[in-house]
Amino acid sequence: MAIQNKRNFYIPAFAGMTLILNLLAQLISYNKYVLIKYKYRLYFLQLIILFLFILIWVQLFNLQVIKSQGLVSKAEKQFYEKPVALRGDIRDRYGNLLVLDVVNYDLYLKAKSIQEIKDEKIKELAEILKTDPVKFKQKISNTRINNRIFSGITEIVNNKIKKNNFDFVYLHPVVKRVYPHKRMAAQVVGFINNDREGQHGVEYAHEDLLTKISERNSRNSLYQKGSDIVLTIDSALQEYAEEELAKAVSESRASKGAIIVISPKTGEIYAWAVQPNYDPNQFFKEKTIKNWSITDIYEPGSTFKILTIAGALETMSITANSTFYDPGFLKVGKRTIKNHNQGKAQQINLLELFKQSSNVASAQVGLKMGPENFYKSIKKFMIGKKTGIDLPGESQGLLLDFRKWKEIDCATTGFGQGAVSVTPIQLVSAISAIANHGLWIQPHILKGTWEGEYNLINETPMQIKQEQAVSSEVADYVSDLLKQSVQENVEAMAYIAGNVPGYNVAGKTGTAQKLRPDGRGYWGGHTVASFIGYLPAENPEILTLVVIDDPKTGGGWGNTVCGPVFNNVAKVAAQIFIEKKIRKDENVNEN
Amino acid sequence: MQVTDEREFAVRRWSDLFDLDCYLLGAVLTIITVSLMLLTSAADGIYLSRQFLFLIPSLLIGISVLFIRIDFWHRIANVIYWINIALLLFVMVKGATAMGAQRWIDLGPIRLQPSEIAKISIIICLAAWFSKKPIKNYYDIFISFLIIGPPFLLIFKQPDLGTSLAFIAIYFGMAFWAGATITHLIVGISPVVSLIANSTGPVVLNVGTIQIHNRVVELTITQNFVYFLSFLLIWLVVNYKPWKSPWLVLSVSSIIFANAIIGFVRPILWNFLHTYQQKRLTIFLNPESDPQGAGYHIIQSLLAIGNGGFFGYGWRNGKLTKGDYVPAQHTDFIFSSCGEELGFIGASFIVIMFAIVLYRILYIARNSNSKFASLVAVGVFSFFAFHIFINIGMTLGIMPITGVPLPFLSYGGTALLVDLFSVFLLLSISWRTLPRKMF
Repeated sequence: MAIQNKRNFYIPAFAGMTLILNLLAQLISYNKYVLIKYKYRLYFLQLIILFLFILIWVQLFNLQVIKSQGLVSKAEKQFYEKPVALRGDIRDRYGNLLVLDVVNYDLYLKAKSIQEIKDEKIKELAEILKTDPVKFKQKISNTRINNRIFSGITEIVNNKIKKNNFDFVYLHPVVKRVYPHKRMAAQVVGFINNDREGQHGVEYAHEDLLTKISERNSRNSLYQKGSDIVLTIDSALQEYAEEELAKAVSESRASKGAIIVISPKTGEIYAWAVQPNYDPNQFFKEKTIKNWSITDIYEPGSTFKILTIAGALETMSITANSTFYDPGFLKVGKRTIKNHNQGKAQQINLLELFKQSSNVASAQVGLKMGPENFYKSIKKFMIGKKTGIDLPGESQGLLLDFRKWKEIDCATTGFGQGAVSVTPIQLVSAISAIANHGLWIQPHILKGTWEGEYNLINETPMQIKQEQAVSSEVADYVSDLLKQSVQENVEAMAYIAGNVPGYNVAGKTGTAQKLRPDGRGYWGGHTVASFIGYLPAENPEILTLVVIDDPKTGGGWGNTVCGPVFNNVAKVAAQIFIEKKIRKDENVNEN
Repeated sequence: MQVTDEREFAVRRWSDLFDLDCYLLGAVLTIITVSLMLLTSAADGIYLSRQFLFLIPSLLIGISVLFIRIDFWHRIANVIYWINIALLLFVMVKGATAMGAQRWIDLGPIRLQPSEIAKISIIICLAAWFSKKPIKNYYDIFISFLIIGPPFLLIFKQPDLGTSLAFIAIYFGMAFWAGATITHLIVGISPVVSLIANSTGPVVLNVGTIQIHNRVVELTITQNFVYFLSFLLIWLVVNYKPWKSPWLVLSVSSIIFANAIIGFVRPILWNFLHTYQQKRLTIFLNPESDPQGAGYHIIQSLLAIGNGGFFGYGWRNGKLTKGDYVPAQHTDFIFSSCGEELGFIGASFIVIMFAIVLYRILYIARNSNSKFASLVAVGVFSFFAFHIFINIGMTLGIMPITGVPLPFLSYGGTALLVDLFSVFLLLSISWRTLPRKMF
């Protein structure tokens, strides 16, 4: 084709053109040593545009008159023979469809006027399309050539039309991305734009997999489809978590919330509910499409005490038997740290620290560790780094360099406020490391690809990073403390959260003060409530984080707001991932 | 400029409206009519009513501009500049995002695009500057270039490559009229061309690799770059005649050296552009290399225009337009659907109309009686010329794709407002300064 050789033609053409222009310019306007008559410069500009207009006109003539025939036949070829490019489907961990491409056909008019078409043919076509023949004929007579007559024709009807060879119409495939579950898992799945490029979520993160046409798929000449991908999401659990979260957020009149359920052993995300969410079918109508739980940071509050204690034990700043004097307040410099409940002055150990969620004791642990040790130990949990989750827009959180920490930062960071801010997914991956005997595993959402011919999941996941964050002894000891504290609190009716019948839950509530929107100090009465917990505590299979931002009911406490949600979601997750598995194992044993 | 005195402009009344430059106004109104015709067809006509929503207030604003004295704009040039910067900063912080760029300010039912407004405001500011300080040497160029620096960078950041390049075009046009020589301009433009020339074409020589931020960057010289450097060398030698003085030898060789350096370190500078911007700038040389990706727009545009043939498919009958093959058929590629539906005759008609507009603007520039007015006319001329040639050239496959709209023809509210504003500003100039009636 001539288009391919264009470069060879345009470079000398360009060079020649500029040279001629140069000479012309020399003739009419430019001479450095002679008085310049400015007015001639406008003639020069006139000449340039004359030249450019001629260039455009010549190219127009070239395309529309000389090369027109070739281009028309090329367009025809594209029209009737071009394969339809499809994106791969997205499925959940069992292969259930979450997202798919649907091909419909539009019918266009080929005949110039209705007189050219026989009446029987129109009747026949109307019958196939199941419309009223009279109205259909009227529609055709009102439609101009090359305009659409009918849209949304399915594959079966399309085949019938093709068989009958109607010469006055042509069909044109239209591909549409359909998200049948609408808002469910939208923040994970994402959406595509009008150019069919992934814009958000998995659609963006795994664009390559979804659009790359494998050799096997390219054999089909009519459709060319990318790979279907399988996510680690369990749609039943996802749906349940979304319902629970929506209920909790609306009941507590909160601004946003998130639930993340993850397997601490493998880093697979089982469910990820986010509020506010959106409908990917109509993303352009939505106000917010941001997945705040990976882009936005918050001060984690008491849930961070888990990492403080683990870090302190690992760096030998405290021992398992350390006790702390807690009079209910602690003066650090000019500021005073207070506990959330003003109790008696007492000597407490680590178990009581978790049980009462003592800020004073945690601050003392932080101060004992000192900035450098503290910073390094929490950095090992990937706080202040991206977790590398395969979703776009991840924030790396906020962790102030330890050289800038003041004494008060050391104390307040001990209970998760001050020098540290995390994204929910960061906190989940860090606490997963404690649950997984100290081994940090990169959280991920891609399980593999789907082999359509065999209905099998081809598990070729991405490279998953692993790192020992703390020693397994420390992690197990902290797990044990968390388990006991939850257990005793539940027995004493102090905790709602963590009451999952049949399981020992290890976990921690968090009620962090919110920063003012302008960043000047804390915002009285506004909190971020959270609960993070995992079960069974001895051999964790499921870890769940519930965060609700700025709840207006239940005093804004993590326990009262997030506790019930955690219990419900963890119960269902346990039924799916633990009890089902045990039953399956039993069946295998019986056989 | 020949006339340098700032004479009092003539006072005009409603009854004088028939003295308006009918060539310019007529051509513009014809193009707008064709535009409304095309918008009825393109994208199933959904943009027609929205364009009307902008057209009528734009015309009203334009007519009121007629009754504002020209020196008013001269006096408030400073204020315009800072308002412009403030708008661009506002859009950077709180702008609405669409298609991966943050360009719009949401005003309820309509969206305003400050980068379009920036074009006419920078024309007024530069005209005010140059009318006081014409260009005599490189220093003047440098100082005046600083004026367009901040808005240029703010728009480049949005990102909006087309508009930022339009700024450069406006600057060069006005600087040329304000006294810069062609050599000044060539020296100014050549690094940009070196940058693009060394990004395309086959590699002639691989100089080596360097490592920057864990990224290995290959320093290469391409065939196009060699072509361009030799062209530049010939130009400079012919113009400077370096055999006349050792100083000229030095300046010619330093310009060549600077270009060569920029060409070598192209990969580093080139990386400032987004990947899609890089692809768009070079794909027009060989669109078949990526027919489904970057080359898609250009191939479909060429097919649509070629499909139109001599007489076209007829209004609202375009096969590729109606089949949604022509991308952005209501905005950037409206000329393709014009070519398909109206054919060679219609497209040529539009091209002639644009030619009339441009020639008429130059006529006004030549005959106006103040430096400021004349400079504004040349600024608007370069603004329109850049948009017209880049856009039409892009649809015809002879210019890179930069996402520049076609004045008056493309859908786009703010663009239409700014284009009409500029035209009425020129009409006002001709109305007040040109003595004789047009018909």
